[in-house]
Amino acid sequence: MATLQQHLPLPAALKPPEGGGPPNNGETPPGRRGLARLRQDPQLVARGGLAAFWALLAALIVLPCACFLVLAVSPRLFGQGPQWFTLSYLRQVFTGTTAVSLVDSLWVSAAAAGIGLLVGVPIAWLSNRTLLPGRRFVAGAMWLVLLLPSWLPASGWERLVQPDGVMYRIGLNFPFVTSTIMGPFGVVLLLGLRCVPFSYLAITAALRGLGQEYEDAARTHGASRITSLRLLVPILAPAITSAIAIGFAESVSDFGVAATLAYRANFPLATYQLFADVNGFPPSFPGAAAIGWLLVGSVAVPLALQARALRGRAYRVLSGRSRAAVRRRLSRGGLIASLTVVIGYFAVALGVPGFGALSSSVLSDYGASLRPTLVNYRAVFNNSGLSGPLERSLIYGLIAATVTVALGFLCANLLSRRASASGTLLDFLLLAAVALPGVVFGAGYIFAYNLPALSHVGLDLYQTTTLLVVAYVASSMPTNARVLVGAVSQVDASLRNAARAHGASATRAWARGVLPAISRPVLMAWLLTFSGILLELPLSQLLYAPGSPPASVAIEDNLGNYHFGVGTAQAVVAVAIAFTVVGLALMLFRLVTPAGWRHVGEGVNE
Amino acid sequence: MHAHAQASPDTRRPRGRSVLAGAAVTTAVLAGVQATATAQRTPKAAVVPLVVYSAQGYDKLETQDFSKRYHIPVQLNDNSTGPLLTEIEASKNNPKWGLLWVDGATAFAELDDQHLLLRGFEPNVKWDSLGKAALPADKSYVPTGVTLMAIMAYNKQRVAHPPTSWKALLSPKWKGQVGMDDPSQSGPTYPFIAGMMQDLGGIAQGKAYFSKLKANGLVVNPTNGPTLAALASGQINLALVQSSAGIGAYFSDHNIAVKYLNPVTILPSVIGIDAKAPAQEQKEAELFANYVLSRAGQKVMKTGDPTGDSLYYPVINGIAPRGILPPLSGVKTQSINPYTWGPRENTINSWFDSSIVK
Amino acid sequence: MSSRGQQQPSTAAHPVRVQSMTKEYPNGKIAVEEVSFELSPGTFLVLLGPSGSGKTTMLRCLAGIERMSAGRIDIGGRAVAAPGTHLPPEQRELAMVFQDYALWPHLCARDNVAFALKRRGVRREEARWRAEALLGRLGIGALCDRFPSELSGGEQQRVGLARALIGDTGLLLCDEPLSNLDAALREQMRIEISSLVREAGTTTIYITHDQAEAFALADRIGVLERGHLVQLAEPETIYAAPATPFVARFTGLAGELAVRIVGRTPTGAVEVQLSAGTSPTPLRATPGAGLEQHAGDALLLVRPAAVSLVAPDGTGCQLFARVTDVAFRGVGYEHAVVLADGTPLNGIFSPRRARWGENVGVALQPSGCLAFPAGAVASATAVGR
Repeated sequence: MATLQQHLPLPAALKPPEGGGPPNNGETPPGRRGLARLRQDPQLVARGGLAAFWALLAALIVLPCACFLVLAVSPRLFGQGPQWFTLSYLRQVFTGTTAVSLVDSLWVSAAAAGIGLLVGVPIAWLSNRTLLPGRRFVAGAMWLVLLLPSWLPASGWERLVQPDGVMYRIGLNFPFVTSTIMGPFGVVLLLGLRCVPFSYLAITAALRGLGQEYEDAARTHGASRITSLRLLVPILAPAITSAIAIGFAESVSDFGVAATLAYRANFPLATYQLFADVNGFPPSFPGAAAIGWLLVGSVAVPLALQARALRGRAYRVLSGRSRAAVRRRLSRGGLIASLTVVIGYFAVALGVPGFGALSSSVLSDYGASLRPTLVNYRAVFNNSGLSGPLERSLIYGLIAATVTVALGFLCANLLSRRASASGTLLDFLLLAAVALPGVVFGAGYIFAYNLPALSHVGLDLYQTTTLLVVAYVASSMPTNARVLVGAVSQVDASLRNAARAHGASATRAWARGVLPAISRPVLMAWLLTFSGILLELPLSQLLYAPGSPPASVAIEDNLGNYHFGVGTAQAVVAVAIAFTVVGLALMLFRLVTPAGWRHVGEGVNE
Repeated sequence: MHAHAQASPDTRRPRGRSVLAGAAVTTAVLAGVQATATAQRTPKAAVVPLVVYSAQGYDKLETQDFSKRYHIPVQLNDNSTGPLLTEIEASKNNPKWGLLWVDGATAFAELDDQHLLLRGFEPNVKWDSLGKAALPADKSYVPTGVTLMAIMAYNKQRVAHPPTSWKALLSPKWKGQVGMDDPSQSGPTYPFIAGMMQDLGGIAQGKAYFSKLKANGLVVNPTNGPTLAALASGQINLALVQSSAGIGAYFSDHNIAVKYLNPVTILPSVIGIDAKAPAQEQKEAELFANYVLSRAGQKVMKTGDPTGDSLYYPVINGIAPRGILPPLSGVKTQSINPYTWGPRENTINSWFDSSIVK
Repeated sequence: MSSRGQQQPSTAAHPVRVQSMTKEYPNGKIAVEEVSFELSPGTFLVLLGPSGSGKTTMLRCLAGIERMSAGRIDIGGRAVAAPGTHLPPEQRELAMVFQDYALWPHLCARDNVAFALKRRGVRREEARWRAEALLGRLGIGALCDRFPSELSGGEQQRVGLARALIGDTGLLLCDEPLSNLDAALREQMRIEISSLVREAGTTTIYITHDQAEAFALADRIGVLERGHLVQLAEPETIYAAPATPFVARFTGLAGELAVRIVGRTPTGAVEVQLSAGTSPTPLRATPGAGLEQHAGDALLLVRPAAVSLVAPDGTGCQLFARVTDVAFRGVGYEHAVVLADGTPLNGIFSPRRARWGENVGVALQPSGCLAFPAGAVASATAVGR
């Protein structure tokens, strides 16, 4: 990373001041003049860094995705069909089951993003602006929802309500629950539950920076509470639309729910069709690529919405001067309603699937009875061979998450300076990448980095751990950058300038002036990426170096060979390990960081 | 980046993962291979790691034992059949696998048609009738064992007199009680559907049969596991599943028994060798196939996954199946020609998905 | 003396009456305690106090942003807050200028101002036209279409002022509106606020921690100390007869001397002698609250205007001092000196420049020397209006 950092663009405020370097007195040795010039021309450095950054993005994201997507029109390029150019695959997408699944995907994702907003905004407001009891736990629980891979709650629900599920085994005979959850409603619900944290995070970031004075100003100038809320909505618009955009893109690209609950409910979604194309034999990469195109195209909708909301302006509402907001005391009725919403959400999002997964892991593979047994857990620790893969995944997760957050942070920096064309391009690129399911990255990486030409020059990356980790980074970076952009855009340039003005070097200015302000979101983004990678499946399956399976492949191997109890127990153990790491990291953060770091963004009167 | 640690000049492809084959160990390894030359062809070049793509439950033990005996390092890509085939197709311009070992011959026929498999290799073994039936004419792949698809699993306590023919499943007596797998999720299910079509006299007749099954309340689950879970919970009473899975279910629930309906389609477990692999690796792959069909290899296969994939019928003379497997005497088995039925797989599967699953 | 600016009380201007305003936060901290005062329509009240004195809380309670713990507020003869009553801000007929401007970032200058006319039911077109006109009067008519982020601090605060004035509400609240501006701009803005507000004739409550600003703007000044209103009076009274040493200190002192009371004059002045060392003659001082019967040790608080530099051997010399600082102030010089016993005196004006380190004589004018009992250093009780 050290060398990488040197090539990446410095945030504007960290750039050395113009002409700030020592004057060139002609004593520079001739051989080092170029370097010295570079050092003295910060613009050149910045431009070079920007170019390097884009080159890296191209290699990590653009090239693999393009290699995959190009197959839709030119299958022959990678030997996947006879035609050099054809539109037939794209045409196919608009017919038959694929078209239906695509339309379903679009409305389901829109509805999910809507649910996310509808639930996420009130919870964000309640936990930031009221004296809601237990508000301190909300943020942590939200991250917990995000940290769970989407297939886990989906299969938890499924195990619970399916016709032979836990619900029936313990004597609750509610077929209507089964038919409701295992249908479009359940799919929208599950995807929507996952969108809530995105809305919550975006709105919380905005609310924390949004001082009370805007609302006060409205109220004192005659606006009722409702009118002043209406006035605040446009101020929060960037956060709201960004929450919709990320929720929509995440839902469109989701495979966990598509492959489990949606599939079982005979409600195929586009990602499942894409997967079926890739997974059928022989696989139809061109057909899958055509679906990929439409997934990428679909994110244009929320992006356009976002562009409209911003209308080309970025307002930095968040300055160091904002007055801390006042927490409102809830009335008795309000309190009951609020607690119902918050507790209800977490019960549905965490409690139910958690119970489903746990209970199923203590039941025997095909047991008709309810005989809890720990035999599966014993198997996990005795002979499942999970320790090696788990250890491997832990290491991959540590490395990839660190690199991802570093890159995601730089992306977020560029994104928060929205005025530039490159910022807009980056925005689209990242959101499009979010919309593509992992299997596209996986296959794209094979196409792009297993070219015979590369092998001829001795560059054999396919089936190496390096490429797997790089792919992890590439696939998690877009979401990561989007999660971080809220935090980064809150960092007023004055914070960085202040540090520099007080004599800190660029690095120290960053460490002292910026890092404290973003330390918590950065840590959270790191944990999100880490736990995502720990159980990542599609990329791992396609790219892992033979002989070194990561945890998810080992778990899937058991599930694939019908050892459900052990497989689920392994998954539970893996998730438990992920949570342990998360817990330890948060505890460490508490112990190690100066108290002031944790107060950033919490400037709210209790 | 560990670049290509090429082991020998005649290795055609630089292999990124061949770090293990360091020059220092080469001599010793070579000696080891020669010393245990049960495999007739002695490798002339230095060993390279053998890359095995496998979905078998016993593959880990099998490759470990092979490595130990022949001092050939094996890198195992242990995955489900779907991702393995996806990888092979995506990397076919520059393949990195050496040997593929999964259930079902249709995929191999397709790979063979694409000239991705090494032809003309046959292990030096005495095939039994199952083995002979599964061996392709161009010897592009090698059967290592056989399971049956589908057999009928049922709950002894709830079903005293299980149906005795495929046709009986259409009777109102079994309405809403029959379950099977979805061919687009479960690899072994397509050969079952193809086998039914072949037996009934054609694709149209087969479609008619499954449509009638659907009309009689057929329940389609993604794979063997959920279908058997539905059986165990009483949601269905008859499960049409792969023999190894159905017989293995007994270990979780002793009430589950199996019955073979005539005819039953054989589903070979198959090894194929990468046509583009370096010569050395191809030789090692052949050595591996020979080892799998040796007594030692069969012993590991029979014990490696006792409640799952080890429940197979051997394809060579002199090896008995595990005791729990019902004898095949009196059972009519049939093979489908993978070269005929393989290319129809995608269309038949999507027909099944749109007409039967929905 | 009472109302320099009350030429034409606006018909809309509200009287304000505050009774026993108390605000206690849930954590037990009492920000405002038992504050009462009354303002006639059109009065410009400045609440002066250091940070933490409760002035912002008072203002927010007046605005209705905070809910009082106890007490009663009447605006325009209407109880807006009383036990069991709490009108929300929008129903209190007031407007507010914020320290941080609080301009809505997504609205241009014109729309920010026009927003405040919504409560008047003014048509959108007319509202925008009137906003433009007012912004024009404030000298930023050309910036109507700019968004807050495109305006300087001074320009933003002009927009904030226009927004507060356009609604013609009966009460204007100003929350340290000048504190984020630089000195030159601050003076200019002060004049603009003063003239515009007086022209409108609206009742104004303005909070600041800057005594110069307070004296320049106010009809009446209320001095706050730790949640208590310790004095409410005309600026001249506050200056000449501060109710407590705290008020005296907060409204500007040259220094403080420890003294002994040695006698009283028939005119009511007291005669004091320095505790440490002596002066050629006893000093005369005005007795502050609590000193009527007091004898013995006292504290002499000296206003800068009461101090003059004289020749050490000349007539009128009461104390000896050495010059420690000289600052040129245009019309003359401001000196800092230290007395023989080490007590510093600052802000002493003289038309003549003394040399640094020069020994000088100091003369004190009795009216600017305020004597308080030595024990009365500590804080305040509510003195009320």
